[in-house]
Amino acid sequence: MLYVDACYSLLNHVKENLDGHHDLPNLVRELTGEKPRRMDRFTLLALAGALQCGDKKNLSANAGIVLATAVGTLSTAVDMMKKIGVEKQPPKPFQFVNSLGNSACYSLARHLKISGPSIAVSHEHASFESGLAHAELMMSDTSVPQIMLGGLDEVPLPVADNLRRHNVDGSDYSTCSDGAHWLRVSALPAPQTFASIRVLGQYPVEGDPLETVRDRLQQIGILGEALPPVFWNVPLSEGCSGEQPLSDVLPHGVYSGHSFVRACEYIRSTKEQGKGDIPICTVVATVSRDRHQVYISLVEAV
Amino acid sequence: MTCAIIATSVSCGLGHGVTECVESLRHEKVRVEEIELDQLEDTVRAPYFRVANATNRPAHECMYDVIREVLHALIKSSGLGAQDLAKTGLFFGSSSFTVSDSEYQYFSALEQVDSELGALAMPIVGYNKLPELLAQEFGLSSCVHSYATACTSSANALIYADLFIERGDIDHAIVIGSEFYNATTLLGFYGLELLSPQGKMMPFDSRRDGLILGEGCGAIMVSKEVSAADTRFLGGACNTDTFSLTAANVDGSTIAVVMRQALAKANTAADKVRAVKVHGTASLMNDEAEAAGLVALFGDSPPPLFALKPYIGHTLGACGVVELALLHSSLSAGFVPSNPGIAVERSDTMKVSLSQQNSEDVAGVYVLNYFAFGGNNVSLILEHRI
Repeated sequence: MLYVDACYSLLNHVKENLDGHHDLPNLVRELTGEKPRRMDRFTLLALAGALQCGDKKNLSANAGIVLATAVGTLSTAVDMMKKIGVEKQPPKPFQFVNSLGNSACYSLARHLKISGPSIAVSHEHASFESGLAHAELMMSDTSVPQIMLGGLDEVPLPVADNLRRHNVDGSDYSTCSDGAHWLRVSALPAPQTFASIRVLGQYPVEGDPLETVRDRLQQIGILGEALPPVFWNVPLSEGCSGEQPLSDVLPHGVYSGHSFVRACEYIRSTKEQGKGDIPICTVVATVSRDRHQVYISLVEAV
Repeated sequence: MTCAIIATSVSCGLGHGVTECVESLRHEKVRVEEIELDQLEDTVRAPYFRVANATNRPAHECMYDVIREVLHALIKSSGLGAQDLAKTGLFFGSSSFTVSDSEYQYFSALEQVDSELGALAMPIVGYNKLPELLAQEFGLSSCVHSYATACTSSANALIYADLFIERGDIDHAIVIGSEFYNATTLLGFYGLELLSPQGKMMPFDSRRDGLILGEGCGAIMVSKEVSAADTRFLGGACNTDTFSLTAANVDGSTIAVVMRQALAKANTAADKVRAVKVHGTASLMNDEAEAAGLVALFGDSPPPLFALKPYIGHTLGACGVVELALLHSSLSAGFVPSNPGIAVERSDTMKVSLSQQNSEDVAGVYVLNYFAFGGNNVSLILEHRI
């Protein structure tokens, strides 16, 4: 079980031949008060999301960082390979250093003034769920009271190349998504805690993902009269409550991080509207690309 | 939690397989090759430790073959059957993952087309793609995770493999460190001017002038069943050092802290440490930082220190498991490695020296250090019993 006291999602829709990205360098400059130097897009995304997730003064100096990513520092890796293959030049020194997953963790730790453990983990479509598991395990060390848990994946331009990398047909998707999705979590409830997260597990999809989710929740004894809002990482057919990506947008690997943030925001806003004694619960369902497996998690009000 | 190391498998610059590697290490054999990169306008030459029989094989083919050979050998040596393998997780640490294959495909495509429009840079994406394929191939559980923290990747993988076992998700874990030759990495270090011009790695030595990269794959099988094992993983710690993106704090403070934290996790005092496997990259600032950290923790008389990178190069994300596998294997063969002729005497600046002779006194607790770009510091604690 993880307890959430802050959340933030930065989601981009990147269209063919247009840079749909936020102006990350200027955004990071506003957030940090410094002009970003020698930072690649991956690190800028990390900072742009994390620095808008909660008030820094509520963060312990021993806090850890768990960074979940399916494809890592892809833009930098592409640029370096082109520099060698086409320009016949070696990569720039800090370009190479930025290609390593924990350079983003370094910049984040520096700005947040924290020195706990940090890791970058990956588990394909369920990378964010891997991040949740690692956050729980990291906090089994009681000297780590809080964790900044982020999901990051980026789309290097052009979009057509990105679709080729993911072996998808360009006629099905006109747009790719990328983004940074952050939660501040702890192992015990804190004064600012408003939600809890439980990853129930990964299950084989039997027929329809929605029916699989419904059946599993009934088997566990959680489902009441109606299915609570479900936040999906894949577009589904009609009849499904909750939120899902747009059908012509290829979701990125850590899209479920966005789902978790949206679920937490739903919990927070519903609580603020004063729903009384009605237990507030949402579901995050993360489906594999081949649609054979689904991770099911509960996000509940605290 | 304490978990047992029940099997080891390794392929690196010392040889292919545990037996060959241990014998080469016992006799201090160093086999450095020279790699020539012809992708650039000006040819770049650099020393490099290649795995055995790699010279005439494309790097990407070598990578897949060696990883599978190492896994086959590990599973055979572990004695685990299909039922146990289904409860075994896979934890994969690397800096470059499948970049060797992406480079091969991209550079080949560039040669075949008239312009670069048809060739796709980084065609293979997904850090966990290969580990998930391997898990399916070898009948492992779905608990498969990859770690991308540069030079501490596979060291961090072991810390979390142990925690997943403790939590009950799995009974056993295969922890792999994998790093294979690719131009991007070699040119990255070349551009940072960290490679040794004299082609010799001499950690803590006043003559040191940089590192030599190496490729390799190491794998260990760890298990919750500790009773009969001679080597146990007692725990590890990690911290984030924001002194510099490319070096730990030269005053050694953050390195001392992470070693202290690791020893606390292992319920072991510093004065009980038998020896330390240093990170020892022979780069100017990192050696100073590690030496300062060792003195801060252990005082003026630290336990015996030894380095494995002079024998296999710096295997980056793989070094966590490759070096642990080599240490475990050499202890099981009856000796603690040494570095004759390197850092024989303590220098004025670093105040530490390396062991000059193999020791047969193998029982005890060992500290294994690993530090990465991005300030990721890891220290692991191992216990060997006879």
